[in-house]
Amino acid sequence: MPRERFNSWLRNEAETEVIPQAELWNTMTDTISLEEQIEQIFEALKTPVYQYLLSVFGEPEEAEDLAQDTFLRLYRALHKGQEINNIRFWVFRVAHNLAIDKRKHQQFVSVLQVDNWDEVEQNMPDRGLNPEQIILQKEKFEMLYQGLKLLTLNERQCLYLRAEGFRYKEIAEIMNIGVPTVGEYLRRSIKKLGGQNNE
Amino acid sequence: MSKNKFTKLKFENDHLSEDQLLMLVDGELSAKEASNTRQHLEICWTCRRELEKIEETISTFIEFRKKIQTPLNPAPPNKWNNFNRLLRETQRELEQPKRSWLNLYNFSPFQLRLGIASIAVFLITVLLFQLVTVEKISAAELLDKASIKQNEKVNSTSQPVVYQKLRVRAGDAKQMDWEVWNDAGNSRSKQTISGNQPKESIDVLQELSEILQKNRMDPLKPLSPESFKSWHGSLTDKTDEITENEAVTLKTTNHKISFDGQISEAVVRFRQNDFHPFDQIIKVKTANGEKTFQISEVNFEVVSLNTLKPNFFDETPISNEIVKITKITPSPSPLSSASPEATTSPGKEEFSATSLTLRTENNNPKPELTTKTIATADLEVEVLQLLSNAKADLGDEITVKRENGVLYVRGLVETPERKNEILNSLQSVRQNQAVKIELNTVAEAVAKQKSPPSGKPTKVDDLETKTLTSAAQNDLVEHFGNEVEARRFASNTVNRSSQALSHVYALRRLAKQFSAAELKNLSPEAKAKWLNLISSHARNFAANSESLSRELGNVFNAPRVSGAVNVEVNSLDDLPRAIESLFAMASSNDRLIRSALTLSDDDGKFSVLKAPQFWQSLKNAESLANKIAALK
Repeated sequence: MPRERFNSWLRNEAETEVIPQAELWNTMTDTISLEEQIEQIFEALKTPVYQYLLSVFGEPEEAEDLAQDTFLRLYRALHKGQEINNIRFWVFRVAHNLAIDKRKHQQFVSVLQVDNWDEVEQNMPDRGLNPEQIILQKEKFEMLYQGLKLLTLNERQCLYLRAEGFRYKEIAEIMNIGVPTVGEYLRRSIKKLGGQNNE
Repeated sequence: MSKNKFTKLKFENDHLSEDQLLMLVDGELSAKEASNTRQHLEICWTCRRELEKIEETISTFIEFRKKIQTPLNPAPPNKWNNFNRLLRETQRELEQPKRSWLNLYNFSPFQLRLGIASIAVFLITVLLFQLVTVEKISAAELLDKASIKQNEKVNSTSQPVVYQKLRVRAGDAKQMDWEVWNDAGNSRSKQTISGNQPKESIDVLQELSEILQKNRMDPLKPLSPESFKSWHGSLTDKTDEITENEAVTLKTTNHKISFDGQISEAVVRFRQNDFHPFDQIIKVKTANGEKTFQISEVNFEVVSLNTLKPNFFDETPISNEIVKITKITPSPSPLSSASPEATTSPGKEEFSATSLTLRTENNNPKPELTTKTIATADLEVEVLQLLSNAKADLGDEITVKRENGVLYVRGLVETPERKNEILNSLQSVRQNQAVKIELNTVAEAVAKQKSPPSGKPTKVDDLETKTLTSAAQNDLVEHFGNEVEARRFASNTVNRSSQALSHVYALRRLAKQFSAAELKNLSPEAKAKWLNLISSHARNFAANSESLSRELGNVFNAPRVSGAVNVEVNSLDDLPRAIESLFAMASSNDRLIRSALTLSDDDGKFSVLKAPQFWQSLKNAESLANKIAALK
């Protein structure tokens, strides 16, 4: 297959300007080497990618390995001369696909690494709140926490990708699903998080 | 969301749909749609309230993620320490060929002449080659793309079940048809074979499954990009060749043969339009020479689970045999001592450790089933029983799962003492190589009986010290005469309800632990143990439910009702449905009890405790649990 055709497939609809990539591309000057550029991109994106993988797929060690692998793939791709217009989108998509491939048989994923409400509650920040506000905050977070537990894997992926700032079209491409499906998953997620799980 | 749908919803109903509101919030509506929506919001209070709710939920989620989830998530275990090393290694790998050619001074004149001559020959070859072909993508890219395309197709169906009909030709044996249904969502599959000679067909299929398994291909998805990718990725010395004509063909040659039954060459052909693999030929090195298998796709469909009969996957004509085949261990070969895996240190990685053990123990050239290091369903029941003895099965925190022949017991425990307690309860299986226990101590509760998934008892305890009231508080105070007693009662009742529910969660996990086929294959002892666990949780639930009826009934003057459920529990086949029904009833009852007895902004919720339907539902759940407990 001609390289050009493959590249155009990679670029497919990724030119949305929603996530400003200026801070990443600013590093892409001729004055520093590709390896240094990768190191800078890694520094900028490693935490969001790790948090996404951890929140959606579970295990810390695996999340760390997959995140690192993603940036090494980015390095290989750029080294080969591949054109990547939206680095952040590319990185999340690759990380997502690596995780899906790796964990295709995994069914159960904890909502939080600390999967127990008591523990969550102990760690809840209450600085500057009066007792009534603390209770209200607990109420609202607990409802959300219980709602998070009800999310399916697809809903969870959509929700966390949306929280990362991706548009529906980008989420659809990362997850290999249709744009209306993204809307539907997000609607269900919001409903569950809002404590209305009647579906 | 299409414009049509938007327009239709807008004019058919007086209110905006949740889709529209969410898309408005997310800026996903077109300018015209957004303008229409905003106009409607200006005049409609109801829709404005709905919009606020959505925005509130999003804001709470973002706050939760920032203030709670992210801080509670552990830091990367290796603190990214490997990244710089890996980057340097990759850099060296990528730059190696360049350096070797640029250091011309290191070569003698003869070597240089020879090199230049070789380059010339190479360039001529390349030029000739380019006349007939175009630049190729790599095998990995091709496989990735095929995999993504396939996932796209699968994910476009809800609850997808992948059906593949394959025609298999093995050496001189006659061809046969092999049908596979994979329900990835529920980790189950079904297979059938048909051919003129069933016995011979089963033998061929067994042999093929063994080969695929040994070569890290997936015996349940023999013709798939993932399976090929998995094998391709496991090769250390290989050559790929991609050609493109009416189909895209990938031919991979494995240059390092280190065990009997290893694939020496595989050719897979993909359709041009969607990169779907439709034909695969594998050549296998055996003690008797080379053997060829061809797997061609006759049909491929992705259907929704809903369109299949409910017990479709329970009717498994040959899947049991195949499942066993996948547990077969690699057989030793005269070359196995030279295999790099033979030098892997035991315990470093569970799969290679397992292979190593078997390879050294098994000198029989014919593969055979082993029970020594491969986790069986019986062993799984044994571990479930041991965990139940330690009451560690009443929560989500400990999971027991078989993966690649290893039984994993994973979980988080509250204290070191609790961890020791559970480890002690697992003493009899801890030395078993097929069991891998991954219990971590974190400062959190594990046992569901102490801390049920809802966490609601904690909330009730909080309320005891606060001035807020529950919906039922006035009635409770009236009944008990004082507020302290009323709150204690509410707290105990909610706790009991959660306890009851935790037994239903345990039942559900037990029911889902094994497929119908696996259950049928359990030894009589293991099956009795498993049923005993089911029965014990069902009895515990029934007892808790009975206490709830009695205690709540005393306070709220419950009407006399007797259990009346239509669900029959006569055999193992009835069990999954019965447990799901019980779960639906129990979770609904628990929700009602909690909403009535804990903090609520809606006094109306309390009235449910006075409705006859609630008491009927409590009794029904109890009655169904007793039926489940009685199953022999």
